[in-house]
Amino acid sequence: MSQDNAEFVEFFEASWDPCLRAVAASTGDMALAEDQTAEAFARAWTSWHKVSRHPAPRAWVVRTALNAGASWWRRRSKETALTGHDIAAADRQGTGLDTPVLTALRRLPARQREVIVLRVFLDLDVDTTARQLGIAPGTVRAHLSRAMTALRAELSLATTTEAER
Amino acid sequence: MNLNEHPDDSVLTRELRDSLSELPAPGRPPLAAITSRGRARQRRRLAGFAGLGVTSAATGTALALGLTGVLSATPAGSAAATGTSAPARGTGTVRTVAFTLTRNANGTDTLTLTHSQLFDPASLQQALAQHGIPALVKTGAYCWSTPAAPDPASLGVLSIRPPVKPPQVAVPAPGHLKPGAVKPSDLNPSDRNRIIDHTVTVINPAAMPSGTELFFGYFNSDHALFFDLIYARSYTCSNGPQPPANP
Repeated sequence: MSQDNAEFVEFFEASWDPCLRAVAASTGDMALAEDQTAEAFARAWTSWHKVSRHPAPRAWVVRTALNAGASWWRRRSKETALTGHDIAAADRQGTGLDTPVLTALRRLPARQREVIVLRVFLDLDVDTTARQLGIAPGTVRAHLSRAMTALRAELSLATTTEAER
Repeated sequence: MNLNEHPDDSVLTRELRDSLSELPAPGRPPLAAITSRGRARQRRRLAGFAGLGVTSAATGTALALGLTGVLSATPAGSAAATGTSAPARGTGTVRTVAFTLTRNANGTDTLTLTHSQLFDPASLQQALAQHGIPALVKTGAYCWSTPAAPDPASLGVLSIRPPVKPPQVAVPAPGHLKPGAVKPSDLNPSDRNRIIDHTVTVINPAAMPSGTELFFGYFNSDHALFFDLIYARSYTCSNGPQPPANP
Protein backbone atom coordinates (compact mmCIF):
# COMPACT_ATOMS: atom_id res chain seq x y z
CA MET A 1 0.00 0.00 0.00
CA SER A 2 1.49 3.35 -0.95
CA GLN A 3 1.99 6.17 1.54
CA ASP A 4 -0.70 8.23 -0.24
CA ASN A 5 -3.16 5.39 -0.02
CA ALA A 6 -2.44 4.81 3.66
CA GLU A 7 -3.00 8.50 4.37
CA PHE A 8 -6.28 8.45 2.50
CA VAL A 9 -7.46 5.36 4.40
CA GLU A 10 -6.66 7.06 7.70
CA PHE A 11 -8.47 10.21 6.64
CA PHE A 12 -11.48 8.27 5.36
CA GLU A 13 -11.84 6.23 8.54
CA ALA A 14 -11.51 9.25 10.83
CA SER A 15 -13.63 11.65 8.79
CA TRP A 16 -16.54 9.64 7.41
CA ASP A 17 -18.84 10.07 10.40
CA PRO A 18 -18.34 13.81 11.04
CA CYS A 19 -18.57 14.61 7.33
CA LEU A 20 -21.69 12.49 6.86
CA ARG A 21 -23.38 14.08 9.88
CA ALA A 22 -22.56 17.59 8.67
CA VAL A 23 -23.94 16.85 5.22
CA ALA A 24 -27.06 15.14 6.62
CA ALA A 25 -27.75 18.01 9.02
CA SER A 26 -27.51 20.44 6.16
CA THR A 27 -29.61 18.46 3.66
CA GLY A 28 -32.06 16.79 6.06
CA ASP A 29 -31.90 13.49 4.17
CA MET A 30 -29.61 10.77 5.54
CA ALA A 31 -29.82 8.47 2.51
CA LEU A 32 -29.01 11.31 0.15
CA ALA A 33 -26.25 12.51 2.46
CA GLU A 34 -24.69 9.03 2.43
CA ASP A 35 -24.62 9.03 -1.35
CA GLN A 36 -23.28 12.58 -1.58
CA THR A 37 -20.62 11.94 1.05
CA ALA A 38 -19.52 8.73 -0.67
CA GLU A 39 -19.27 10.64 -3.93
CA ALA A 40 -17.22 13.36 -2.25
CA PHE A 41 -14.82 10.82 -0.72
CA ALA A 42 -14.50 9.12 -4.11
CA ARG A 43 -13.51 12.48 -5.60
CA ALA A 44 -11.13 13.07 -2.71
CA TRP A 45 -9.53 9.68 -3.44
CA THR A 46 -9.02 10.52 -7.11
CA SER A 47 -7.54 13.93 -6.21
CA TRP A 48 -5.83 12.95 -2.99
CA HIS A 49 -2.52 14.57 -3.99
CA LYS A 50 -4.42 17.88 -3.98
CA VAL A 51 -6.93 17.26 -1.18
CA SER A 52 -4.25 16.01 1.22
CA ARG A 53 -2.56 19.41 0.99
CA HIS A 54 -5.83 21.27 1.51
CA PRO A 55 -5.88 23.27 4.77
CA ALA A 56 -9.13 21.56 5.79
CA PRO A 57 -9.70 18.27 3.92
CA ARG A 58 -12.93 17.57 5.81
CA ALA A 59 -14.31 20.91 4.72
CA TRP A 60 -13.35 20.05 1.15
CA VAL A 61 -15.31 16.80 1.40
CA VAL A 62 -18.36 18.41 2.97
CA ARG A 63 -18.50 21.22 0.44
CA THR A 64 -17.99 18.78 -2.43
CA ALA A 65 -20.79 16.62 -1.05
CA LEU A 66 -23.13 19.57 -0.69
CA ASN A 67 -22.30 20.77 -4.19
CA ALA A 68 -22.90 17.26 -5.53
CA GLY A 69 -26.24 17.38 -3.74
CA ALA A 70 -27.08 20.70 -5.33
CA SER A 71 -26.41 19.20 -8.75
CA TRP A 72 -28.48 16.15 -7.86
CA TRP A 73 -31.31 18.32 -6.62
CA ARG A 74 -31.26 20.47 -9.77
CA ARG A 75 -31.48 17.33 -11.92
CA ARG A 76 -34.22 15.84 -9.76
CA SER A 77 -36.28 19.02 -9.65
CA LYS A 78 -36.58 18.84 -13.41
CA GLU A 79 -37.92 15.33 -13.20
CA THR A 80 -40.17 15.19 -10.14
CA ALA A 81 -42.90 17.19 -8.56
CA LEU A 82 -42.27 19.37 -5.53
CA THR A 83 -44.21 16.98 -3.33
CA GLY A 84 -40.81 15.40 -2.76
CA HIS A 85 -40.31 17.96 0.01
CA ASP A 86 -43.20 16.45 1.97
CA ILE A 87 -41.87 12.96 1.45
CA ALA A 88 -38.44 14.05 2.67
CA ALA A 89 -39.95 15.70 5.75
CA ALA A 90 -41.85 12.50 6.59
CA ASP A 91 -38.67 10.47 6.10
CA ARG A 92 -36.83 12.64 8.61
CA GLN A 93 -39.10 11.73 11.51
CA GLY A 94 -37.23 9.73 14.09
CA THR A 95 -33.88 10.06 12.34
CA GLY A 96 -32.53 12.81 14.58
CA LEU A 97 -32.67 15.20 11.67
CA ASP A 98 -36.00 16.69 12.74
CA THR A 99 -34.80 18.43 15.92
CA PRO A 100 -35.87 22.09 16.16
CA VAL A 101 -32.32 23.37 15.85
CA LEU A 102 -31.49 21.32 12.74
CA THR A 103 -34.85 22.16 11.19
CA ALA A 104 -34.10 25.83 11.82
CA LEU A 105 -30.62 25.40 10.36
CA ARG A 106 -32.06 24.14 7.10
CA ARG A 107 -34.28 27.21 6.83
CA LEU A 108 -31.23 29.48 6.71
CA PRO A 109 -29.98 30.88 3.41
CA ALA A 110 -27.41 28.59 1.83
CA ARG A 111 -24.38 30.77 2.59
CA GLN A 112 -25.29 31.18 6.26
CA ARG A 113 -25.87 27.45 6.52
CA GLU A 114 -22.44 26.79 4.98
CA VAL A 115 -20.80 29.09 7.50
CA ILE A 116 -22.50 27.24 10.38
CA VAL A 117 -21.42 23.89 8.96
CA LEU A 118 -17.79 24.95 8.61
CA ARG A 119 -17.45 27.11 11.74
CA VAL A 120 -19.62 25.18 14.20
CA PHE A 121 -19.74 21.61 12.92
CA LEU A 122 -16.21 21.34 11.52
CA ASP A 123 -14.72 23.82 13.98
CA LEU A 124 -12.79 25.80 11.36
CA ASP A 125 -11.46 29.23 12.26
CA VAL A 126 -12.71 32.36 10.50
CA ASP A 127 -9.77 32.65 8.11
CA THR A 128 -9.95 29.01 6.97
CA THR A 129 -13.71 29.27 6.58
CA ALA A 130 -13.25 32.42 4.53
CA ARG A 131 -10.67 30.78 2.27
CA GLN A 132 -12.84 27.72 1.88
CA LEU A 133 -15.85 29.77 0.83
CA GLY A 134 -13.86 32.32 -1.17
CA ILE A 135 -15.14 35.26 0.85
CA ALA A 136 -13.58 37.79 3.22
CA PRO A 137 -13.18 36.96 6.93
CA GLY A 138 -15.41 39.89 7.78
CA THR A 139 -18.13 38.44 5.57
CA VAL A 140 -17.83 35.13 7.41
CA ARG A 141 -18.38 36.93 10.73
CA ALA A 142 -21.37 38.79 9.28
CA HIS A 143 -22.94 35.58 7.94
CA LEU A 144 -22.35 33.83 11.25
CA SER A 145 -23.89 36.66 13.22
CA ARG A 146 -26.96 36.74 10.98
CA ALA A 147 -27.27 32.98 11.10
CA MET A 148 -27.15 32.88 14.90
CA THR A 149 -29.68 35.69 15.12
CA ALA A 150 -32.01 33.89 12.73
CA LEU A 151 -31.60 30.60 14.60
CA ARG A 152 -32.33 32.24 17.96
CA ALA A 153 -35.43 33.86 16.52
CA GLU A 154 -36.56 30.63 14.90
CA LEU A 155 -36.00 28.57 18.03
CA SER A 156 -37.64 31.18 20.24
CA LEU A 157 -40.64 31.16 17.93
CA ALA A 158 -40.74 27.38 17.98
CA THR A 159 -40.57 27.36 21.80
CA THR A 160 -43.34 29.96 22.07
CA THR A 161 -45.56 28.06 19.65
CA GLU A 162 -44.96 24.85 21.53
CA ALA A 163 -45.83 26.54 24.86
CA GLU A 164 -49.07 27.98 23.47
CA ARG A 165 -50.36 24.58 22.44
CA MET B 1 -12.37 29.65 19.06
CA ASN B 2 -14.86 32.22 20.15
CA LEU B 3 -17.80 32.44 17.85
CA ASN B 4 -20.26 33.73 20.38
CA GLU B 5 -21.11 37.37 19.98
CA HIS B 6 -24.44 37.08 21.74
CA PRO B 7 -24.84 35.78 25.32
CA ASP B 8 -27.09 32.98 24.08
CA ASP B 9 -24.74 31.94 21.29
CA SER B 10 -22.74 29.54 23.43
CA VAL B 11 -25.95 27.69 24.28
CA LEU B 12 -26.99 27.71 20.66
CA THR B 13 -23.59 26.51 19.50
CA ARG B 14 -23.67 23.68 22.00
CA GLU B 15 -27.19 22.78 20.96
CA LEU B 16 -26.15 22.65 17.31
CA ARG B 17 -23.15 20.48 18.07
CA ASP B 18 -25.18 18.20 20.34
CA SER B 19 -27.80 17.72 17.63
CA LEU B 20 -25.06 16.77 15.22
CA SER B 21 -23.30 14.34 17.54
CA GLU B 22 -26.59 12.66 18.42
CA LEU B 23 -27.38 11.91 14.78
CA PRO B 24 -27.36 8.14 14.29
CA ALA B 25 -24.89 7.85 11.43
CA PRO B 26 -25.07 4.69 9.34
CA GLY B 27 -21.92 2.58 9.18
CA ARG B 28 -19.01 3.64 7.07
CA PRO B 29 -19.03 2.03 3.63
CA PRO B 30 -16.14 -0.26 2.72
CA LEU B 31 -13.14 1.57 1.34
CA ALA B 32 -13.36 -0.52 -1.82
CA ALA B 33 -16.77 1.00 -2.55
CA ILE B 34 -15.24 4.47 -2.43
CA THR B 35 -12.20 3.63 -4.52
CA SER B 36 -14.20 1.78 -7.16
CA ARG B 37 -16.52 4.75 -7.38
CA GLY B 38 -13.49 7.00 -7.80
CA ARG B 39 -12.07 4.73 -10.47
CA ALA B 40 -15.35 4.73 -12.36
CA ARG B 41 -15.34 8.49 -12.21
CA GLN B 42 -11.78 8.62 -13.55
CA ARG B 43 -12.72 6.33 -16.41
CA ARG B 44 -15.78 8.40 -17.28
CA ARG B 45 -13.68 11.54 -17.30
CA LEU B 46 -10.91 9.97 -19.35
CA ALA B 47 -13.44 8.60 -21.79
CA GLY B 48 -15.02 12.02 -22.07
CA PHE B 49 -11.68 13.67 -22.77
CA ALA B 50 -10.75 10.92 -25.18
CA GLY B 51 -14.00 11.31 -27.05
CA LEU B 52 -13.01 14.85 -27.78
CA GLY B 53 -9.31 14.19 -28.14
CA VAL B 54 -8.93 11.08 -30.23
CA THR B 55 -10.71 12.42 -33.24
CA SER B 56 -8.86 15.71 -33.20
CA ALA B 57 -5.52 14.04 -32.57
CA ALA B 58 -5.97 11.55 -35.37
CA THR B 59 -7.33 14.18 -37.70
CA GLY B 60 -4.39 16.39 -36.86
CA THR B 61 -1.98 13.60 -37.65
CA ALA B 62 -3.70 12.93 -40.93
CA LEU B 63 -3.51 16.55 -41.91
CA ALA B 64 0.13 16.82 -40.88
CA LEU B 65 1.14 13.79 -42.88
CA GLY B 66 -1.09 14.52 -45.81
CA LEU B 67 -2.56 11.05 -45.60
CA THR B 68 -6.05 9.99 -46.43
CA GLY B 69 -8.10 7.24 -44.93
CA VAL B 70 -6.32 7.60 -41.61
CA LEU B 71 -9.47 7.96 -39.62
CA SER B 72 -12.32 5.57 -40.09
CA ALA B 73 -15.08 4.04 -38.07
CA THR B 74 -17.10 0.89 -37.85
CA PRO B 75 -19.83 0.88 -38.88
CA ALA B 76 -19.11 3.19 -41.74
CA GLY B 77 -20.94 6.42 -41.53
CA SER B 78 -20.56 6.89 -37.80
CA ALA B 79 -19.37 10.16 -36.38
CA ALA B 80 -15.72 9.17 -36.44
CA ALA B 81 -15.84 8.42 -40.14
CA THR B 82 -16.49 12.03 -40.92
CA GLY B 83 -13.98 13.31 -38.39
CA THR B 84 -16.40 16.08 -37.49
CA SER B 85 -17.21 14.96 -33.97
CA ALA B 86 -16.23 12.41 -31.37
CA PRO B 87 -17.34 8.83 -31.97
CA ALA B 88 -19.72 7.28 -29.48
CA ARG B 89 -17.89 6.06 -26.40
CA GLY B 90 -16.71 2.50 -26.54
CA THR B 91 -17.86 1.76 -30.04
CA GLY B 92 -16.36 1.62 -33.49
CA THR B 93 -12.77 1.73 -34.56
CA VAL B 94 -10.09 4.27 -33.85
CA ARG B 95 -7.57 4.26 -36.65
CA THR B 96 -4.41 6.33 -36.75
CA VAL B 97 -1.34 5.97 -38.93
CA ALA B 98 0.39 4.00 -36.15
CA PHE B 99 -2.33 1.72 -34.83
CA THR B 100 -5.91 0.57 -35.09
CA LEU B 101 -8.15 -0.12 -32.10
CA THR B 102 -11.39 -1.94 -32.77
CA ARG B 103 -14.21 -2.79 -30.36
CA ASN B 104 -15.33 -6.40 -30.78
CA ALA B 105 -18.85 -7.70 -30.27
CA ASN B 106 -17.82 -9.78 -27.23
CA GLY B 107 -16.58 -6.76 -25.31
CA THR B 108 -12.90 -7.22 -26.10
CA ASP B 109 -10.84 -4.81 -28.15
CA THR B 110 -8.32 -5.53 -30.85
CA LEU B 111 -5.20 -3.42 -31.08
CA THR B 112 -3.04 -3.62 -34.14
CA LEU B 113 0.24 -1.76 -34.36
CA THR B 114 0.68 -0.81 -37.99
CA HIS B 115 3.38 1.81 -38.44
CA SER B 116 5.18 1.94 -35.16
CA GLN B 117 7.66 4.54 -36.42
CA LEU B 118 4.78 7.02 -36.31
CA PHE B 119 3.56 5.96 -32.88
CA ASP B 120 1.98 8.65 -30.72
CA PRO B 121 1.49 7.54 -27.10
CA ALA B 122 -1.13 10.18 -26.32
CA SER B 123 -3.35 8.98 -29.18
CA LEU B 124 -3.21 5.36 -28.00
CA GLN B 125 -3.93 6.30 -24.39
CA GLN B 126 -6.91 8.37 -25.48
CA ALA B 127 -8.20 5.65 -27.77
CA LEU B 128 -7.93 3.04 -25.01
CA ALA B 129 -9.71 5.33 -22.57
CA GLN B 130 -12.41 5.91 -25.13
CA HIS B 131 -12.95 2.17 -25.20
CA GLY B 132 -13.09 2.03 -21.40
CA ILE B 133 -9.62 0.53 -20.97
CA PRO B 134 -7.62 2.25 -18.23
CA ALA B 135 -4.08 2.54 -19.52
CA LEU B 136 -0.85 4.46 -19.21
CA VAL B 137 1.13 4.87 -22.43
CA LYS B 138 4.63 6.34 -22.54
CA THR B 139 7.54 6.62 -24.94
CA GLY B 140 11.01 5.59 -23.87
CA ALA B 141 9.95 4.52 -20.39
CA TYR B 142 8.94 1.35 -18.65
CA CYS B 143 6.60 1.39 -15.65
CA TRP B 144 5.93 -1.31 -13.08
CA SER B 145 4.38 -1.77 -9.67
CA THR B 146 6.03 -3.15 -6.55
CA PRO B 147 4.78 -5.64 -5.57
CA ALA B 148 4.17 -6.53 -9.18
CA ALA B 149 0.64 -6.67 -10.53
CA PRO B 150 -0.42 -10.02 -12.00
CA ASP B 151 0.82 -10.95 -15.45
CA PRO B 152 -1.79 -9.59 -17.89
CA ALA B 153 -1.31 -12.47 -20.32
CA SER B 154 -1.87 -15.04 -17.57
CA LEU B 155 -5.12 -13.35 -16.59
CA GLY B 156 -6.37 -13.24 -20.15
CA VAL B 157 -6.26 -9.45 -20.15
CA LEU B 158 -4.01 -9.46 -23.16
CA SER B 159 -3.32 -12.04 -25.80
CA ILE B 160 -1.27 -11.54 -28.92
CA ARG B 161 -1.92 -13.46 -32.08
CA PRO B 162 0.54 -13.99 -34.88
CA PRO B 163 0.54 -11.24 -37.45
CA VAL B 164 -0.95 -11.85 -40.84
CA LYS B 165 2.50 -11.68 -42.32
CA PRO B 166 5.95 -11.94 -40.81
CA PRO B 167 7.67 -10.80 -38.73
CA GLN B 168 5.61 -12.30 -35.97
CA VAL B 169 5.76 -12.42 -32.24
CA ALA B 170 3.10 -13.67 -29.92
CA VAL B 171 2.71 -13.49 -26.19
CA PRO B 172 0.09 -16.08 -25.38
CA ALA B 173 -1.83 -16.35 -22.19
CA PRO B 174 -1.51 -19.80 -20.64
CA GLY B 175 -4.86 -21.46 -20.97
CA HIS B 176 -5.93 -18.81 -23.43
CA LEU B 177 -3.98 -19.93 -26.43
CA LYS B 178 -5.67 -19.17 -29.71
CA PRO B 179 -5.21 -21.36 -32.74
CA GLY B 180 -1.91 -20.49 -34.27
CA ALA B 181 -0.63 -18.61 -31.28
CA VAL B 182 2.97 -19.07 -30.30
CA LYS B 183 3.71 -20.84 -27.02
CA PRO B 184 5.62 -18.91 -24.35
CA SER B 185 8.44 -21.42 -24.55
CA ASP B 186 8.85 -20.61 -28.23
CA LEU B 187 9.56 -17.00 -27.48
CA ASN B 188 12.88 -15.36 -27.03
CA PRO B 189 12.82 -13.74 -23.56
CA SER B 190 13.26 -10.33 -25.15
CA ASP B 191 10.08 -10.88 -27.15
CA ARG B 192 7.82 -11.46 -24.16
CA ASN B 193 5.38 -8.68 -23.36
CA ARG B 194 6.32 -7.08 -26.66
CA ILE B 195 4.10 -5.94 -29.49
CA ILE B 196 5.58 -5.26 -32.90
CA ASP B 197 4.13 -4.11 -36.19
CA HIS B 198 1.24 -6.11 -37.66
CA THR B 199 0.72 -8.08 -34.47
CA VAL B 200 -2.90 -8.44 -33.47
CA THR B 201 -3.41 -7.91 -29.74
CA VAL B 202 -6.73 -8.72 -28.11
CA ILE B 203 -7.46 -6.81 -24.91
CA ASN B 204 -10.14 -7.97 -22.50
CA PRO B 205 -10.76 -5.10 -20.05
CA ALA B 206 -13.28 -7.19 -18.08
CA ALA B 207 -10.42 -9.42 -16.93
CA MET B 208 -8.44 -6.54 -15.43
CA PRO B 209 -8.28 -6.73 -11.63
CA SER B 210 -9.72 -3.80 -9.75
CA GLY B 211 -7.24 -0.97 -9.30
CA THR B 212 -5.02 -1.94 -12.20
CA GLU B 213 -4.36 -0.39 -15.56
CA LEU B 214 -2.45 -1.50 -18.61
CA PHE B 215 0.95 0.01 -19.21
CA PHE B 216 2.33 0.37 -22.73
CA GLY B 217 5.83 1.66 -23.27
CA TYR B 218 7.06 2.42 -26.78
CA PHE B 219 10.75 2.27 -27.58
CA ASN B 220 12.04 3.83 -30.80
CA SER B 221 15.07 1.59 -30.82
CA ASP B 222 12.86 -1.51 -31.07
CA HIS B 223 9.91 0.00 -32.91
CA ALA B 224 7.90 -2.04 -30.42
CA LEU B 225 5.44 -1.63 -27.59
CA PHE B 226 6.16 -3.31 -24.27
CA PHE B 227 3.22 -3.91 -21.98
CA ASP B 228 2.49 -4.82 -18.41
CA LEU B 229 -0.20 -4.52 -15.80
CA ILE B 230 0.35 -1.92 -13.07
CA TYR B 231 -1.53 -0.71 -10.03
CA ALA B 232 -2.97 2.67 -10.96
CA ARG B 233 -2.19 4.15 -7.55
CA SER B 234 1.31 2.80 -7.13
CA TYR B 235 3.90 2.36 -9.83
CA THR B 236 7.41 3.46 -10.77
CA CYS B 237 8.80 4.34 -14.18
CA SER B 238 12.34 4.18 -15.49
CA ASN B 239 13.79 5.65 -18.65
CA GLY B 240 15.60 2.49 -19.61
CA PRO B 241 15.32 1.25 -23.15
CA GLN B 242 14.23 -2.16 -21.88
CA PRO B 243 12.04 -3.35 -19.04
CA PRO B 244 14.02 -3.73 -15.82
CA ALA B 245 15.22 -7.28 -15.29
CA ASN B 246 13.75 -7.55 -11.79
CA PRO B 247 11.31 -4.73 -11.20
